[in-house]
Amino acid sequence: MSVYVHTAHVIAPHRLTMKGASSGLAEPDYSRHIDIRQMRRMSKLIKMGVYSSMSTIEGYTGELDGIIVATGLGSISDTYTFMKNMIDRAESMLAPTAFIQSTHNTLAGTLGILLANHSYNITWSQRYLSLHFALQDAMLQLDTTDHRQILLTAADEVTDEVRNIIDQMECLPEGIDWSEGAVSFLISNQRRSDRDWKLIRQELIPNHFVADTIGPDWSDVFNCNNFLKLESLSPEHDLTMDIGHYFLTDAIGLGHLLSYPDVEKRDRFISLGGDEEHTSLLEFQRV
Amino acid sequence: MISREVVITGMGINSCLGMNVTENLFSLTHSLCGIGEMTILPSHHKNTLPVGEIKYDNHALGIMTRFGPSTPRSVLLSALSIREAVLMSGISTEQVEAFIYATTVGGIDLSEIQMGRYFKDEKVDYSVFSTHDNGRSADILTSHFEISCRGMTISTACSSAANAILQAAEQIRRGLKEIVIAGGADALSLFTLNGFNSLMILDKSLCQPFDRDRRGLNLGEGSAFLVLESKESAQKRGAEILGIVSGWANTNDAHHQTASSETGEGAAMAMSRAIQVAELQPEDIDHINAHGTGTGNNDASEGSAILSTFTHVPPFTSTKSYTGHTLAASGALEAVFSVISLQQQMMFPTLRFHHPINENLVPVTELTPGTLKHILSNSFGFGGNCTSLIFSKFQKA
Repeated sequence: MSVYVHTAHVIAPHRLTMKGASSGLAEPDYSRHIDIRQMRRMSKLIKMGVYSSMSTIEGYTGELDGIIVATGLGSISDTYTFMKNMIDRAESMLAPTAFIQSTHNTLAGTLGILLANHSYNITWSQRYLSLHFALQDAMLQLDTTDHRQILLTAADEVTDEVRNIIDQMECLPEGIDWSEGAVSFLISNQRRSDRDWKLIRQELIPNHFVADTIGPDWSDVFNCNNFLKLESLSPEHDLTMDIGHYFLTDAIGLGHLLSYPDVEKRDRFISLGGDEEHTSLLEFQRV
Repeated sequence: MISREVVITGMGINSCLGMNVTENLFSLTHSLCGIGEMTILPSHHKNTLPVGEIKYDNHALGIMTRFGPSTPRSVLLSALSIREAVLMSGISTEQVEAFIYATTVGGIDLSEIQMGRYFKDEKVDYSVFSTHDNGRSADILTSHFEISCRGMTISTACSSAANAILQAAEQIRRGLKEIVIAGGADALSLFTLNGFNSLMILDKSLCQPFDRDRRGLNLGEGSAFLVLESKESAQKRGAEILGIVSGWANTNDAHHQTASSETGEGAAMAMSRAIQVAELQPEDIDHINAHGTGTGNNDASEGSAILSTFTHVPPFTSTKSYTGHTLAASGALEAVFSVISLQQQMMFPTLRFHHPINENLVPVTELTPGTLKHILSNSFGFGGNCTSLIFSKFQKA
């Protein structure tokens, strides 16, 4: 079985070309893809996820055979809102809206409704490995002789309140902020055009084996694992500083790589994600 | 494409019916409902909302599982049922090739207490928030049991654990994995209790699934895990095979964020596709463990879906009348109940049922023996997520 990524769309604070820039989320004009009335009730997570999804599938025809979402913290803003109300009002007279939207599968469910899609619908939430397992699941769903295509969207949001709590936890390196963003990929088991990327390797390896696994050629390796320091990897190939630290650093990094002009000139590249223990290694080849 | 049989060789469970398979079986066969007064969860709704609560506090659960304080309750419950499932299967945890966890609350039971302090400007233990996210629970459990693979967490509301079992079954069937642990846990929390209460779908008395006069659901808590294996792996080890996972399907109702469509379109598709995957016909299904929450919407929608899927409706039941709705864990709890039904060749009654919604939708109301080969189990959730699983009796060659 072969797996091809046809398009990717990213919403994130920094473009890779803006080295060192530290700006807030560069939000698009959501109304291009989202009805303004529906948008009012949507958290940033849902808006980003829906927008990146719609941008990715724009122009593509054919049924989606699955909607797979990866999220580390899920609907953290609605979770915060409902929890604050619950505490402030001592558990009485609570409006249900924030609760309804607080579940991790709100984005995948919203996409199901907006796309009137009854197919496989799932949400993975495994910290820094969320993209890894979502992609592994996509490969499993595509492992069939029929032509199938899957929409994979990874999204995480942060608010000032949540960022404040994360700061107080003192779990991030000095000067690093918890970040946010969304990225979508249209993936299928059939080649469409010469602009497709073929996924030729996907594995989870202990961090100390990464250097040996990828060998001495560093030119086409991009690191998006916040916990991995690879000697002899040039700074411009270490994307962690640009993308920021959160559970989806690798997903956003991959989204940039698949659509970044410099990368497009390459025939193949490796993207590394993961956490303190394991690296999720993805290798792509231009078809 | 490789296609192998997926068998169950171990199971573990805890709920308000008991702390292991035997205690749960005893409650089910004696029509002992576990739902009652809230005594552990420190909620203002203590005296008004009955819950299916496990009557051990976190300190007691910590002693049983050798976990320290600041461990999420869902993790404590999971540790007990994983231990039971692993011991029953006879595997060692190094043999586990995938650990698939399901939860909606993660560590929210601990973070909501700290957030209470945070909003009142009291001293906050910020380290507790490191266990808030769903995935962290799986990491704690794989490390506790020295499982060599990394945990992977699914969160699809009330269908989460059913999807964990589905994912395990897919991986084994395709020959990617030999031995997988899959299941889930959701402890009661103020967040979920108040959330469901704000939706006005909690019954202030004991729930009555599939009854014309049903008023809503009761929340419960618990965890359940299965050890799933390829038949080859189980037979090579000489393990006892408790049942087969023969069919599964995940669909989306694509109707509304929290409500199911009137016709139960997504539910009907999930049931039909699971029957197709199992290479069965609807008439081969001997029994249904329904999602059957007791809400007006779910039971009407699921009832319609059952009527449209089956020409002759198989005997069906809602074991949520015993346990309450255990949310993310419910698919795993009901998988264990389905396997118990296959082993005992016995269908458990829906408690407190009096009047049908429709004369063709009368659940099992007494402990009923039957020749049970295939049981279908439904789990539906917010976000339109619908998952159906089919458990089949293993015939020794």
